[in-house]
Amino acid sequence: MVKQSKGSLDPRDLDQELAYFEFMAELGVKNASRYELQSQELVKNRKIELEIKNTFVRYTLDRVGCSFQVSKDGGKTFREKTWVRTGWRKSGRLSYLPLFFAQCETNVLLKK
Amino acid sequence: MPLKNPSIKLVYALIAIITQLIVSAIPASATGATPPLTKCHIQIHDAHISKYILRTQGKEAVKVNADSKSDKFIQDLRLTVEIYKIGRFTHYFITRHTIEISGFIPANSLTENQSTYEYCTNKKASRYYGIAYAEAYIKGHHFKTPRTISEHIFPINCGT
Repeated sequence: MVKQSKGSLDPRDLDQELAYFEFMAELGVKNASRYELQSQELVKNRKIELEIKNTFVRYTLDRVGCSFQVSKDGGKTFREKTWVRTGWRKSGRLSYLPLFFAQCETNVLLKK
Repeated sequence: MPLKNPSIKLVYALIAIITQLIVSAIPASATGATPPLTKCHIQIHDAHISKYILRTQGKEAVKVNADSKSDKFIQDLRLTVEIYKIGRFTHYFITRHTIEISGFIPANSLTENQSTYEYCTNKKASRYYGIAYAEAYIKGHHFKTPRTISEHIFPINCGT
């Protein structure tokens, strides 16, 4: 049973939230090898551009984090949607980025 | 020191009378906070461990939700949530996520940003808070909200 505290979401929202994370976990398992390859490419080139279901997206690495940007005009301009701290270590980045790819793709596919 | 010049006395007296008149003319309600132009607001919740991420992925993550509501039709809303961790010397920026809704959003509908979180790397007690802000067009005018911070900050067993 879910306890409702002040300011918490109603059960319908909680179902949506659960569905969102289940979908993300599913993507993470299904695309694990692709995310691993993408992580290596991103760490090497510091920038990758992809197309997810007709949406152009870009990942860029900075000193301590990774930025996810989305284009709404066919890849001409990009606006940042998410930024996460990945740390500067290559090993840390390689282990974190597959999760981040699953998160970003879920947000694009579920329009979050 | 007493004022000897009568003209200076007169000026002081006039200033005192005018000030008194202005103060008494202001209605009591206007002396409080300025009422907002629209009934639009954003609300940010406290940082917490997401039970859904734990249930679906078997990982703990610190999460902050925010929502926005307006009594006017709004257009092209961007609602951003940032998570910060309170460190020993500074506040560390952890993550930021923006939801963007293109087109019109009906009046009084709730828009939520529930996708801002960060996975825990250990169980070290840490204090987190969220900051939310939004921008949108209302009747063709571009509006930006001030930054809103989580009301409560308490330690969570989640190191990042």
